[in-house]
Amino acid sequence: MSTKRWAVTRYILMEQLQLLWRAYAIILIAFVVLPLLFAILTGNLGHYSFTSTLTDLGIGVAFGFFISITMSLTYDNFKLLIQNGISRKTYWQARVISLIGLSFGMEIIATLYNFLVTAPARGHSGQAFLGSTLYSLYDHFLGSNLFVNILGYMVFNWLFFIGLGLTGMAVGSIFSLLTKFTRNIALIAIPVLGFFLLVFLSNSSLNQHSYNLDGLVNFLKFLMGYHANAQPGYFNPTVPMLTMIIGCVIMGGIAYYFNQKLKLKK
Amino acid sequence: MQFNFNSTEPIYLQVADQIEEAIFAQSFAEGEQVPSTTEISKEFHINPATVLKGMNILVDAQLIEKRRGVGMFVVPGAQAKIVEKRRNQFYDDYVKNLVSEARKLHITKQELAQLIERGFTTQ
Amino acid sequence: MSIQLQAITQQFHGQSVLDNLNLTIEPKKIYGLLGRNGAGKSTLLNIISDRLFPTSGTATLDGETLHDNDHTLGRLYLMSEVNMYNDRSRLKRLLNSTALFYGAFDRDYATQLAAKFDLNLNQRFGKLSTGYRTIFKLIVALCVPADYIFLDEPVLGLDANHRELFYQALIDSYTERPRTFVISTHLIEEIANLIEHVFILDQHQIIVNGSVSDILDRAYMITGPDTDVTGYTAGLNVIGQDHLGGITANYVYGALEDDRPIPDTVTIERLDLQKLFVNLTNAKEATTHVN
Repeated sequence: MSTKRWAVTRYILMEQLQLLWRAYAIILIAFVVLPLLFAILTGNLGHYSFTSTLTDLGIGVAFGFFISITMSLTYDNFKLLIQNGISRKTYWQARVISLIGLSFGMEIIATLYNFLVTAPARGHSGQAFLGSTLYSLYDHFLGSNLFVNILGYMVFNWLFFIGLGLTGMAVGSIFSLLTKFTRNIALIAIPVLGFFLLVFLSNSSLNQHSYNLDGLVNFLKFLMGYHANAQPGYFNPTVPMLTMIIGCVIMGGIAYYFNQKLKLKK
Repeated sequence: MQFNFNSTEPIYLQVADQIEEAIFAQSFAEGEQVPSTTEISKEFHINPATVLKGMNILVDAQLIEKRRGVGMFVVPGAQAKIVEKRRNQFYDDYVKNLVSEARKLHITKQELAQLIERGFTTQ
Repeated sequence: MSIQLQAITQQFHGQSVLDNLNLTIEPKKIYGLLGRNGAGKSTLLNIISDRLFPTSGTATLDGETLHDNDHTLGRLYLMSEVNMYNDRSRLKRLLNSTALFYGAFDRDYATQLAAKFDLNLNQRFGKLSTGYRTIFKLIVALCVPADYIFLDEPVLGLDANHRELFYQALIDSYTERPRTFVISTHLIEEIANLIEHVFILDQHQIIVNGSVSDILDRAYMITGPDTDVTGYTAGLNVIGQDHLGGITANYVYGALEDDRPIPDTVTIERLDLQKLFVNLTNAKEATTHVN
């Protein structure tokens, strides 16, 4: 890897790690310390279980939010990097590399935490814990070896994080090109349009005669790894993985396209 | 040294003139080092290349010389050379103007000679 | 070995800012980039440093593109009026990241300059006054290992003492390690003797491009009684005029007629850079006077 790309990757990674520990510190305070204080103040210490609050912490979920938000922050670092003679292309590459690396590291940490802390604390076996996650749709497909299934679960989550991050990057890059005015309009318009789309979809699914959505539903099922007569747990995880990889390529491409258009604002 | 940036003379000539003047007035004695290009450049915000151009005029006139790795030094006999040069230019630089101005003021040749005489006695 | 701009055109919302501009910036020279407010100086510098995209045209360094190219972009540094640093960043950290991205950085000199300017490097960038922001950016500009340093308004907000310090540091640093500086400023008198070569940007074009001494060699002020001055300068490239009573000063840019007798009443003096600039870029005089 070129020295510049490595330098930028390292810079972005360090910055993300700094934000990450702060984010987790905030989560810890909000979900562990504050309830504890509240319990002490209200005299309900008996109802407060330190272990259960700690073990219920969704490290992975928190990271999903974290990565999609931080990857969307684009313009500040663009300014810093272009000031320092770093091209847009290198900026994009460095962000993608640090996203892949950070997601990998965090997925390992989250998995270790889930299976070594949360599951035992809840008295769950590893397989039972898998059954309580989104991966429960696929947790028997690869056979009964727990480690293989956990590996599948990890790859699945890793790809999911990368997809979230790249989506954040794409949205962030587009927003960095907008003026403040258009950005505010977009921030209002998108949720409103999304709401109407939802209303429209739910109406049309009630009204099955006018719109036949079976094809779409089947396609979505297929993307999720459903195949003929498959029971939940026996869905094919490689199909959604492939779906996510394709999604990542598309989102990464969008992010790249708009990233290349970044320029100094007036 | 003093530079007059409003002067109509190009800066590199001013640099040469000022150093020459300092040698003439023996502010920089013969055999002594003259300020470096950088020193002059920094002091008066003049491009080092411009300062060098001015210095090179003096080098060409053999008033200063470069000693490798040390700097510029006043050549022995430089002051006498300047005196010689200025004497040669005295007619062009001063006498011509003097006479032309005297003519405009209708001062006669004798009156001018008297004035010069007076200048010599009072000073 | 140079930065080349070829046929650069920049339009914002159909308005032309730069029009088919060509320029060569050579190594190890100090340049002045002069232009009135809104002439497009900053736009030009932003195009060179790939912060803005020209509508058309190319910018290269030693024949290699400056667009999206770490290799060439890392060889130049633009200190701009716009603040490129995050307000929350501490100065020390910004120096560290500069060193990280440029690969080398004269940290000793940076510390030394910060002490000279009385700048505490533990502060956050956002807490600095305009003057100290400028100072910080100047320190970075003087300490990066780039071959082409562009300074856009380098003395913005600096008091006379700090300006003096800056010019000295600039010459020190330039003598120590000759490289190209392009200085864009409104304080023409302060840099008139510092720059070797000048670009004057006006009406979307470079209207003057040459060594300062060559250009000033061709710039005259001809003063005297109205009719004599007008007679003597007839047919010359008169770029401006001043009147005081019956006395007229005509500013001429270009060669005088050597065989034309100079009337006794007329004096010919040279123009300084500022006076030349003012006359060349006066809106009503337009570019028709420039050849």
